[in-house]
Amino acid sequence: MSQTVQYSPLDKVRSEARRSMEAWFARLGQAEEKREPVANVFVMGNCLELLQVFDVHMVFPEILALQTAVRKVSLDYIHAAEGWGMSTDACNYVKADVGMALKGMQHPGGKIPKPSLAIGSNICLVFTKWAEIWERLHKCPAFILDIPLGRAHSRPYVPGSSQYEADKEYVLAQLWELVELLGKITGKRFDPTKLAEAEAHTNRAMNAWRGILEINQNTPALYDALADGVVLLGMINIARGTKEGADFFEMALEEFKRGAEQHYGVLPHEKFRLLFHGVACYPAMRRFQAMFHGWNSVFVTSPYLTFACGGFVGDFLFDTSKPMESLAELTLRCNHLAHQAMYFTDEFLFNRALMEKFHIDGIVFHAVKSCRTVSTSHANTREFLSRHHRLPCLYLESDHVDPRYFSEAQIKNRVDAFFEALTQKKFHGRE
Amino acid sequence: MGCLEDLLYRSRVIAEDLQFQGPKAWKAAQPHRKVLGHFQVYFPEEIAHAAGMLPIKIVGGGNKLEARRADAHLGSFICSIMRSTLELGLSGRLSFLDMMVTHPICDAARHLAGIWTRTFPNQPAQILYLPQNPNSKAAVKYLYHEYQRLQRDIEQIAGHSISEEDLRKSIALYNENRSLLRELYNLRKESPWLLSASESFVIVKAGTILPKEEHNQLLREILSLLPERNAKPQDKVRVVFVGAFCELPPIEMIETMEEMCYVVDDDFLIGLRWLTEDVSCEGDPLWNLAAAYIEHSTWASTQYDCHKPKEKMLECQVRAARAQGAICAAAKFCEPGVDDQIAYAKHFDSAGVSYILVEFEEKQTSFERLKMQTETFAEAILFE
Repeated sequence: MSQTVQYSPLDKVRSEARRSMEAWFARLGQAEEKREPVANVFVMGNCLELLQVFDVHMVFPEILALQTAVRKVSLDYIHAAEGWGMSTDACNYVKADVGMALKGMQHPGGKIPKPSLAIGSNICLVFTKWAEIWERLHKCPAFILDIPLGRAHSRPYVPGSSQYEADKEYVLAQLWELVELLGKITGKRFDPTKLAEAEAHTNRAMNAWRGILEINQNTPALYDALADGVVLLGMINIARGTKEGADFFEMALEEFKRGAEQHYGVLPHEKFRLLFHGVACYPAMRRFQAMFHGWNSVFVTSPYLTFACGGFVGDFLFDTSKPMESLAELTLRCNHLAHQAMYFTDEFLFNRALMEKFHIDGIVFHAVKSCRTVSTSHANTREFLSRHHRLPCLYLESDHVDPRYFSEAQIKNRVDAFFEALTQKKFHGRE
Repeated sequence: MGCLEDLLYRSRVIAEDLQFQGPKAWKAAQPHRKVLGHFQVYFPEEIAHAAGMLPIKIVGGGNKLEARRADAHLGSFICSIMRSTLELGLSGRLSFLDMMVTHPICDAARHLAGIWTRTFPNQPAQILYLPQNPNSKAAVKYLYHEYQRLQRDIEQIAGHSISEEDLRKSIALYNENRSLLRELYNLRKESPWLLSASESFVIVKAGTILPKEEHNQLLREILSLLPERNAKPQDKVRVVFVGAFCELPPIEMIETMEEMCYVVDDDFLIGLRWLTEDVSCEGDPLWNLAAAYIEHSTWASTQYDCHKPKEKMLECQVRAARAQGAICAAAKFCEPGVDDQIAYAKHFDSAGVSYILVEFEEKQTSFERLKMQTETFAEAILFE
């Protein structure tokens, strides 16, 4: 049982993250005026460290889109995009972004500069389609970084194997092609020392990030992997490869360690510990979270914190003595790891060690209507885990941006039924 | 040789066979035979054929299959072809497959291998990563390695290795098939009254499950009979149909469009026509297959290529077919399709190409709305 204490490690983490986010918006607001290069990038497969070598500002349209939902204005943007002709079935991240472009790049956080370059990837096919949209809308070049991912369930992917080496060679060749393109756009020369510096910052941040993910094995949990996890995710994306980012994550880890020492728990009376799979329900974050906190349940971990940071959570670190090769290798391995957990979901989820370490009582799948990358396997995995491994699973559907798909009463009914069953199982031994 | 109507009827029976009787009979004929299933869009069937396997294209179940079991496995926002393909598996219709290969053509299909593994653990399933950056100088070499990997996996299932000579023979056979399909499509462009799009569709679709040797024979016979067909040109609008690169429209939908239009070109089963030229049988056959995929290939919404902007490719296709307009379709919940519809629309508005936007599902059974749309479209063109 946790003790009620005044101290919360999340206070400093949240306030520092807010400050960084505001500074990011401020930099973006000035970029166009200063005629500084800007790249639109995604939270997966983005080579941020390389962009920093060329002093390119990074815009994360996924983050901007989800912020419109959190600030309850996403529907305005979505309506604008649908009025322009976009389908109701298209990804709502894309529609929020297109809506923003149609509204003169005005975002609730500030003015967003137009991209000088779009970097898409194959990791989500919408990324490539989105990059094509930017080519047409903003008349900017698109570069698609193609990262071969897992081929089959349980297939080893080890350095030295012919498949691994062929994949690495392909990714490395593309990175050199990106270097050439960045040189043309920025007029700057590639500096491997600068890349190594960015990678060293990322190494520091990633070491701390891993510590933060692991510390939630603590009982009671120190943070909610969904509500607080998205704050951390924002930071790992906008500040990766920078000293500011490394300092932030080391600070956050220290705060959580201090919290653990003081027996802090994000919930005063933690009863259920859950794993969240999917993308957050941004249009109704608080209401969604309240449905779970109301049952004294907390999301202690989530693959969302793995794939949406590009997968930099394995035992990988950059080898700064060979920065380009190392960038290719980590881009490949990290994304491979992250996506194995998405496409061959059961391989990741039915991991007894993970379940036991985090003391997980059940899994919640939040299938997002307009994000098939993350959500397609959910129902099948739920069926598989429930049937074969008797793991309590809850499957919910809504959206990550469009509030029209959040049916509160329906979702609450399902959540309540799930917890009633979970209570019977956990405290009364009935299934 | 049969008469044309018999051959067309036979094609339709094969194309609509949801029990896969042909592949099952092929497999049962000899004990060592193996069948490889692959999902849309493109697959280098030559590699499986060279191993003595029967490669068949899995293209969903159309509107004759109710996805009762699959609904429990897929969210409400997943397209019909994913749903019906899984239903084919869950209903036992695909239990004869020895291997299943899928491709990350879209964000739903990229999950198929994982879903297949969980649901049918006795059928090895895997993903073939075709390059999404064909503009990279390293793309051909990467794909060559990927094909080598695939070849090793196929050899393991087949139980023996594939020689270069085997591959060359298979490539030659498939070159002939592609050449015959080009001939079929050229004939439709030149004389659409001799062969309707729906007839062409079933002929091509029969090739998804027929052994290529048999499909070539079928195509040769049909092509030899078509010029003598007793049919006269009608006053119909010439259109190109696009948007069926993966999920296929029901045949009744094509027939509905044809009441007012000659569909003179389309992207039905485009994967079978992905390679646009003969693949060289000289040198390293696997390299030639990889190079052909990158250098001599068509386009689709599922493949990025900065040299092939979709809207301009479609405009070229419309002009090359001397079409008067385009029917730009997208399957329900198909992100690549719906995203490209807007690109076509914006471009055609400025390029002065007539078009309509259509949404469809393979499970669709009512076509009244489509009929009204195409009638209005065709009349607008006719009275321009």
